[in-house]
Amino acid sequence: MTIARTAVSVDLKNVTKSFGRTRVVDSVDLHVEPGKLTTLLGPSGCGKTTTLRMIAGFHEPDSGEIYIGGRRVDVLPAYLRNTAMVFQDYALFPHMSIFSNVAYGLRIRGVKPEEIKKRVTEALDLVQLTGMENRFPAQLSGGQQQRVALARALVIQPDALLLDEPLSNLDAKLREAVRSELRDIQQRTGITSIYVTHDQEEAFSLSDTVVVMSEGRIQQVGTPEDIYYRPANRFVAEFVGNTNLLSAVVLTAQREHVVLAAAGTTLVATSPGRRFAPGQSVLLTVRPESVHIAATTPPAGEERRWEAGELNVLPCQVVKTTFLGSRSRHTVRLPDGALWTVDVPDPGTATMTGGEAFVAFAPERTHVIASEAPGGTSASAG
Amino acid sequence: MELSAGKAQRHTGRHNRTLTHAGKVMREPALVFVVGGSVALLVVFLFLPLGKVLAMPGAGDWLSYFETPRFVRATLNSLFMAAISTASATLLGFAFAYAVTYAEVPGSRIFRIIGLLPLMSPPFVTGLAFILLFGRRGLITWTLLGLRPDIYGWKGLWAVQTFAFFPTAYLSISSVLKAAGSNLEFAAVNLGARRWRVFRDVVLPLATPGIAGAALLVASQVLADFGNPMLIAGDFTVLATESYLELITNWSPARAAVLSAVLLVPALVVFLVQRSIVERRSFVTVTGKPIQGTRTGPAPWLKWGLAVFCLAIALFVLAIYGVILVCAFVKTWGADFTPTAYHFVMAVIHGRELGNSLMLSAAAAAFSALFTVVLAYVVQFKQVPGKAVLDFAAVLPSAVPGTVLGIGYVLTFNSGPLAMTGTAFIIITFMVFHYMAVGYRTASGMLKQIDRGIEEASTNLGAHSLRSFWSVMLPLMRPAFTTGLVYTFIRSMNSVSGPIFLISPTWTLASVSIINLADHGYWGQASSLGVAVVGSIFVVLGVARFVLGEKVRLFEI
Repeated sequence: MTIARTAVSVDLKNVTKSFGRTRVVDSVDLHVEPGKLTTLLGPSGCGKTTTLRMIAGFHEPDSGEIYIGGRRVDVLPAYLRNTAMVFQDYALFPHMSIFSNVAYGLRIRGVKPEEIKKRVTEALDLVQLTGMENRFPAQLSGGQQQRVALARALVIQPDALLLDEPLSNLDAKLREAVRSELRDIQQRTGITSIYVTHDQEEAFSLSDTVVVMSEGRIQQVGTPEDIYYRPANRFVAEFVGNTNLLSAVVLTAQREHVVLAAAGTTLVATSPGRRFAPGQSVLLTVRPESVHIAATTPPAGEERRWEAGELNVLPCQVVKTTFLGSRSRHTVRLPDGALWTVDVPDPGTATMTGGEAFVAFAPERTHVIASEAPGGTSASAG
Repeated sequence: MELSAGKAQRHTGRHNRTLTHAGKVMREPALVFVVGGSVALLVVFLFLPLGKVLAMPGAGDWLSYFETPRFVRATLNSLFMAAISTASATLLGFAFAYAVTYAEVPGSRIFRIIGLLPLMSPPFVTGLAFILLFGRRGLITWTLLGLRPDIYGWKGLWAVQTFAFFPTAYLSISSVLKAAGSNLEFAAVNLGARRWRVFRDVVLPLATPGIAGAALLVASQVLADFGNPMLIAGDFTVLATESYLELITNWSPARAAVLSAVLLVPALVVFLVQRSIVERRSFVTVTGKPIQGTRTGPAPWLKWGLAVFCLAIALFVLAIYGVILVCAFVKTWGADFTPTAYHFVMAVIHGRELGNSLMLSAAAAAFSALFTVVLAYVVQFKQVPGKAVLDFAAVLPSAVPGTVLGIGYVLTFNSGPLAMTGTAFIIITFMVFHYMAVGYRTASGMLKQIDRGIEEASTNLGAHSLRSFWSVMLPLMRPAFTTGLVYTFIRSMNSVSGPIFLISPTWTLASVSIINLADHGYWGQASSLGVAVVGSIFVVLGVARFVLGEKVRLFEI
């Protein structure tokens, strides 16, 4: 495939954009690695799409600079940036055949007809639409249209591939299939890609790097695992998946090892990359599936650590149990009143129905974040 | 702390904006050129003439309006005629629309087409046919009944305007009736409502804003009409004809301007009210799902009654064309019905008028279609300052009576640096700017339904804005382009009120000649030209449909 060129990086330096009085993107600094797929993840209105459109050139930043492959592009009009975008609604040209749609960018670049034919055929092969050249967009299914849009973007050998919630108009099953295809194609072509979505599963399954945004600011940049298990703040912890929070006070903090006082006992947590001072009020987060629940006996598979006292253990009251098929979900009340969710996989019939129990969770799954979210949202522990 | 940060931010923001503004201009010189050109054209050919009409008369001229009884009378006559003709034409249009769109009486398909015919021919053809049927030498009144009634006056004009403009109401109301009920009707039936109640409780309330809009559309056309009052009204003067007299017969431009300005007032009021009604009408379309199932029609006796009514109207419309056609090819209407081609040869073959009309209308249509499509694109898709003003300016001409704009053109372009009266160019520009609203509105409406992403995709793939417009937007807007083309052509062919001020010995037009010929009693030649105008319009429509291979969506305004 001749689609890949030397992959380049995309950099945003202190980029700010307001619409009227609303600051939609606020001092964003971002480095996108060459050849990687980076996702901008966040709720609607967080500024992710605006950021993407600034890279494409559809919005001009109020301040800040944008670089693609080291070349400053925010001063260039959109049509000179060589970024290819896949739009949410595909934006195929309805009056052109599939071939002409894909060929459009090449024709503008003055590529010779025989070369166009060759590259369009290759691109359609890549997205498995061989033989569809003479159809029109209206004759294609949503998934096929999406792939045409992708082929049209890839064929121009863009410096950056921009994808704006490209899967949101597909039904759930198709979305999963196209998602893995997309990941496959991106890895084969090695084009630096920026992907916008509000769907965390999509973000995790596709991305090398995830950038979580909220209210125009970047909340965290990291691998999917980082984002999930080691959220940088309360917003990320709560936006990505379900989480359990508990107020705690730092007793000692040595490098990544933090000892906390919480719910009348001492707990151990890890906190890579962030420093906390003794006496500081913090929040502790644990994912529901990282928590074990046990009436008396140690949780299965964790007997040794349970015996050795290497797990964090808290007494709890089971409030409610819901059977969800692949797992059962328990709502438990901790000594300080906090309600936690505990997911037990493969529950079988042995579901807990109420009464006293213990929750146990490993220190490496226990994560500490500041109790104040940036932006001043008050963080009363839930 | 936060305050100072904000200040600093604002400061750099402003600094940066001026930079990018300059940058934008550099980047899209084509856009700057198009916007600048459009604004200049609108200013020179729309606002300047209108401004002249308002600014030219002095205090004394304004005073003379109140001191001259016939001016005041013409004003009251205009309003009176607009009121009664609107009421009757809307009623007729409603009944017709109800019959063919809602009740679907037998023969509806044919009635629908016949009901649209008058929209494609000049309104004064109706006036001409009335004279030929009911005038002093009228086929019915004189030849058959031996009567010599006086149809010249307000009653005759009322009858003519009712027939000339009911198609406008019919078209507008029938599109409303089509959308108004839909599944809500079935809901009402399901809840136990009978036919009449369904109509009264569901359909009619939903259609009311649309009907009001239709009535206002008729009102503005009656107010502005010049040809029929000229032919039929006799002593019953209206503002359009009175200002013509002031300018052409009395050569008193200032007083003509005063009368025009007075005519502009009700015209603008009607326009603004209609605009606001149309804008608020959205709820009809929100629930307007396509109809599935059989509608509850009226009772059989009413249905057959309506069918007879429609047949009568249809026959009358056909009679209008029939009379004109016969009159064009007989020696002396009302006296000697021997066939002859003399009138036709004199008026059409030897005359330059039809050729001029075709040529100038075609030129106006081509330019108008392109101009409105480009203007709509710029307003809808581009970030340009003053978009709302441009948008308003583009639809404003539909509110301005042709007489007013025509007088404005005479006042503006008769002398000085912009002198061009007597040229073909001034007639073409008048046509372009007077009839641009429909093309613009159609293009605008289409653009609102085109996903912005389509153009962005083109830009994103490397096309600059001119290229994107040419290879993506223009093909997508082709139906709007065609509509603007055909509409402007038809209206220009039929136009009298403005061109009557702008024609010259070299550049006469068929439409104006028909009025003049009829005014002097040359019925045969007037009819011949009428036949030629109507005929060429149908030919052009047919060719447009054939060549462009699409239905011209002319009447879904």
